[in-house]
Amino acid sequence: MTFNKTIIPRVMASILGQTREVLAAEAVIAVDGAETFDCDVTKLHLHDMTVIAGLGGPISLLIAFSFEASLVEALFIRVTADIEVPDGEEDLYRRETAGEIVNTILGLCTSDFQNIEESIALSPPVIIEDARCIHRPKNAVFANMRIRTERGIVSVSFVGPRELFDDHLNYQS
Amino acid sequence: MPLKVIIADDSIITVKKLLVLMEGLGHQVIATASTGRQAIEAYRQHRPDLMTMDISMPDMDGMEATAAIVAEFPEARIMMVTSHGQERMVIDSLDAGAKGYVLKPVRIEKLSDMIAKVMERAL
Repeated sequence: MTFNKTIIPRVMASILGQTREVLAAEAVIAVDGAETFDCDVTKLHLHDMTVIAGLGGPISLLIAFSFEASLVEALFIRVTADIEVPDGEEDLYRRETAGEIVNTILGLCTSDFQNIEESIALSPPVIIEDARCIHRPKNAVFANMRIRTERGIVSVSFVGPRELFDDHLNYQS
Repeated sequence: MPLKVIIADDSIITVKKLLVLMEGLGHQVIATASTGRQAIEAYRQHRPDLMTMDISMPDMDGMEATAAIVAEFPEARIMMVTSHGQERMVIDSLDAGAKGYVLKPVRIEKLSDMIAKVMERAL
């Protein structure tokens, strides 16, 4: 296990910067600000739609982006503006939009870690739509960052070591 | 000259956006694939002029799929289209046999320039 919780603030800063860039470039949505809650977090609250992906190698974190519905809707409208969305498949495309935005943010974050020689693998995003609360097991580290945009909030949770949880954030004892 | 293209990506949104961009550049998308294994199968079946390949995909990632395709078809022109910006990953992709690398978000000018470079490198 290569997890080291001291990397979390650096990953947070990278995600905030790339979220700002990607939301502006892909959906013309401005980030108004952010609050961070470091490693003392004892439980995580997942909102309407959550996209979970893992950063591997020395980072070894699961990262969950939990979106308010208003932000998902704004992203969906902008991101799908130039493609055809078949009737009845709007919900699928809303989920795909959230997944693609997170995949792009995390992929670009890896460019902020050029000094790490090992490849940083990025797992395909998993999307869950049930709001729930996850309590921190003793041997895990939780951190959280709330990013406020002009169209709603995305709450970014950091869960490590990655190996303690499956891709849906279920604890694997 | 119009190229016959296969798009390998597990995101429906990216596939559709790339399809629009490719057609805008005058190329023809002849197939799509959403996993690494499907990408290999699609390449065998269609032998495209160009394949775009995502890195993070279910069942087999784009790097492994690229290496497998190039091992079987050394002339294959594969271009990574990914958000993965770590330099190590770019080097690993080129080592696997990719001829080019485009970072998302993809814009038509960036795509057009990289296609020209990939086709030139393959000559």
